[in-house]
Amino acid sequence: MFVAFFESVKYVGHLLPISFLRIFLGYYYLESAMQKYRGDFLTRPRIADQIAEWLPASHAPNWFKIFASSQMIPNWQTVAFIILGLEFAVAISYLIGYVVRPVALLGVLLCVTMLFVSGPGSEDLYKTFLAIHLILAWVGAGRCLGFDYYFFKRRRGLWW
Amino acid sequence: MSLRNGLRLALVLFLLFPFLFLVTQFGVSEVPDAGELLWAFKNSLWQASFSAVFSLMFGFWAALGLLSFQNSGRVKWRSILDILCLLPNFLPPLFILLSVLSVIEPFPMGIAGIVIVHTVMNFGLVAVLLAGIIENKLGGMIELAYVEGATRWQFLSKGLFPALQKDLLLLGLFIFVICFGSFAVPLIVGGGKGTTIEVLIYEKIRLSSNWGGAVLLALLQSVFIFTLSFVVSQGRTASRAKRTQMNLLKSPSGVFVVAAISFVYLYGYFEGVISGLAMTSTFYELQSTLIWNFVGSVVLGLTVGLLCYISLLWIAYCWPKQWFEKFLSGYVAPSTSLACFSLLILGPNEGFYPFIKIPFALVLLNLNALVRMGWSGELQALQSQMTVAYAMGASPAQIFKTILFPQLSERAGILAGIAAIWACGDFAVSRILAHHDLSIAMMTETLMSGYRLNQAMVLSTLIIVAGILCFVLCVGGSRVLRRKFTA
Amino acid sequence: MKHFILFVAVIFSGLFFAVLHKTEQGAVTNSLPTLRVFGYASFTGRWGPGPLLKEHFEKTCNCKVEFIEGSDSGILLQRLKIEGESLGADVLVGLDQFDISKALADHTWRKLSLNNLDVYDSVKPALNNSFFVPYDWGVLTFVTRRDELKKTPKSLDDLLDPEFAKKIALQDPRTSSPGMQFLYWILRSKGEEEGFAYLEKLMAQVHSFSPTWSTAYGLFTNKQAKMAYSYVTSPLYHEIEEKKKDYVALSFNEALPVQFEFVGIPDLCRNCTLGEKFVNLMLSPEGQKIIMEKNYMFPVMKGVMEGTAFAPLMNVRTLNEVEIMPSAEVDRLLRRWTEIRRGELN
Repeated sequence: MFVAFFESVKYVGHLLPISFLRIFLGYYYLESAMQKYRGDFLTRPRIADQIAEWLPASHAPNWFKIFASSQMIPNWQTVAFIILGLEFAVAISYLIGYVVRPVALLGVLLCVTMLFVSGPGSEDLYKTFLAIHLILAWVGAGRCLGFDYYFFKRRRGLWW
Repeated sequence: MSLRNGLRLALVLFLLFPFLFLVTQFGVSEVPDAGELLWAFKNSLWQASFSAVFSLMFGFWAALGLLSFQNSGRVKWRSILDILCLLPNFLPPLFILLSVLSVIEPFPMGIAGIVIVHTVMNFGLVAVLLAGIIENKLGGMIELAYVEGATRWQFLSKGLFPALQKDLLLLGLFIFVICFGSFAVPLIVGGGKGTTIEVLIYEKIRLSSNWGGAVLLALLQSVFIFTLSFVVSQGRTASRAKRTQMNLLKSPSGVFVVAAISFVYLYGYFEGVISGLAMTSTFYELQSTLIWNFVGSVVLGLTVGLLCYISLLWIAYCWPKQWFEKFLSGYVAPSTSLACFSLLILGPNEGFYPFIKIPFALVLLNLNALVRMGWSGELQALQSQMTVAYAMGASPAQIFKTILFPQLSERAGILAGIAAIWACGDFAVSRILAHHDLSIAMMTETLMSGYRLNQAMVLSTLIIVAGILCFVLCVGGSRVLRRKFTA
Repeated sequence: MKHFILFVAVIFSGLFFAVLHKTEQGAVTNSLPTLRVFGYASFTGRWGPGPLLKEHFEKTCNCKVEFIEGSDSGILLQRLKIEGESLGADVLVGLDQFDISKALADHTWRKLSLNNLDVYDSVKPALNNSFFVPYDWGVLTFVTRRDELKKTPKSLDDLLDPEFAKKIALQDPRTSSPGMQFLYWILRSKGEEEGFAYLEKLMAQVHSFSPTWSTAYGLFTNKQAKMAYSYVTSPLYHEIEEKKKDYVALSFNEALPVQFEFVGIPDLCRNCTLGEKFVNLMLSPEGQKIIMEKNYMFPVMKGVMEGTAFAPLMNVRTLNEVEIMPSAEVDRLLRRWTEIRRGELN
């Protein structure tokens, strides 16, 4: 498996630049998740405050606004846990290049949600991330410098 | 000491740990009042004996019903009946009790009452286990008797009962042990006969803080069961027959028995659930807690399942040794409170320690039941294969890897799944070892302790969901492991 | 797909355990001190007064409150005895008058300064020890459904009427605090010898002796029994929460027993001053209101209950003094009670 990890550079080397982008994004997400984990993201209703503050001005569809105010704000602890879990999943997946394609789709979901509940200051950032996640999912960025190559080599298919 | 002997000893010490630990901590200084003890012992003995007999009788009848659904097209019905049979085992006893009391009116209090409730709770387990034993051990014989033209009665009296005599005794002992240690049911419906050894143990701990006395009572109880287990030896080995014709035995009236007894325990339960549904709005603000506790139940169930799976395979690895077999067939887990308090004293109880201690306590309390539920029988059945392999020079590790594991993994998964179901429904152990509500069962108990019985019933449906989920994962997991390691 | 699901499951389970560990560790390492309150589940649980008291307390104390649950007072005391300092309990909630002597015998407690508490007269006798203070109280009686009984019992002797045969749900005094209150009530009302003789006759009337109050009350609400031994405030729960007005608490010629719930601070507390402040909150008007509304018990302090639905229920005749029975005496009475149960025919 480890041989395959490095061997991938030889066979899918054209994906190498995009793999660096993937690893960088993974590192970014890991930093962000660790910061949240060490801080009070899980213990104080920060996410609920954020949603309550920005939701009225958001471009989100109506059904999302209703869902966010009726379900996400009261259950902010669960929402915070899911967001943190997803950030960790994206971070680890991107860093080691394992199940990158489906995790990138989770990343898209996370970005869209954050886009809807965040202020205009971070709107551009999330839009850019959204595009990067989509591209990573499209090209299967885990196949270069990642464990996905090992599985791709053996099984093929859409997941790698 | 060889590795296998070390592992045997380690398992025995693990199972005996609460006794040894508490005796060294508290010592046994006071001899219990003989009159009181005899009275409680007599009550325990009678109620457990009758409960075992009636559970066996109705369980046998119901097993004949289960055997009616053997063809591949009817497997779905068989699964539904199996679930109906096993359901009383993982609902809080109070719900079963309330339901039984609301259907049977006037309800006879006393020994008769205890036996009725215990029979409703255990008949299904007997039925499922017995159906499995009959299919595995007598399949060929039933087909032969059918072809030869034997009547059902002839086959029962001359074939089935003599052949399964020891298995029936073993199953009887299994139910006897469960009922012997029952606490709430005898107290509520037992009338004057409600005081059992388990009640005395609880009383000694709660009121008199007499730990020595409590440990002594638990020891006496264990010694009694241990002695009793010597009378009952293992049944004949399974032949692992192919799917066979069960026309001679199958009985639609058995399905009726399952349906009737299920009605007895489900009627009141669903009545409670329906009236509780009107108040589900109170759960609205607790969605987050509900999700967490549901995850807690599943994590707890799966951990217990995994530990039981490992323990059962551990037993299999250590198997052919007479003293070890005798110990496992005679061993009785100590009372819940004793086992829990011994774990409570040992080491810290904060952080995720409850998540380690609770599964360990549940494995400690349930492992002997799993062994009696057919694990020892499975191992006996494979003994001849082990002997041949050993004679041909196979090492214990080879025997385990190539003979035992492929044949036992799935069965261990089923038993581990049952233990996971029990773990999902547990609140007695968790209540002592956890600092706050960690699972749906604990939340249900908290609701019950403050007027909200019907809401608790609604919530308990989630216990069923978590239990089924854990069971499916355990069984599926064991199949995957078997495939992975034998490929 | 399998890999993906497994990967996400592993990440989330890892985070779950990490958060669990962090929460408990954080409680110890965090700069904010943590007050650990040890109580029974229905006090500390979501539906009990615990969470609201915690919220109130955390607003002003610059600390965190953590609840540790036990199943009942007997088990709470056992845990305190066994785990000792490692349990780190700063406050112990939920002892009743029959637990006090055992608690005093097994542990050492901090003295509480209880000057000038403006309590109800019926509560004053419960203030006669300096280690525990009552935070709520309840009067115990039989609760029944309106119009279900042809005759309404007015005295203990009326309970022996054949009309009530096998219709009374009681608790076992060996395992339940209200059960012990019932035994005490009979013995105080009739004297010990006559009381036990009465209990012998009452055995035939009893539907069941349950191990806990909740089981006995469950039997009653599920209509297995016509009446259950509970609190005079029980019908109020059904009225407020379930909008059902058909439950009624019976009044008796005999003075009714009172159950006090006490709070105390063990000597091995870590944040003792915070513990005292928490006790003060429990006795403050806001604290008392929360306890009254969530526990469905009477507050001990005057000025909280007035004008609420609880007030009229307090006007029942109750036993005047509060007896703190020594453990040996409790044991002796229970032994006699067990003897009677042994003689019972069924």
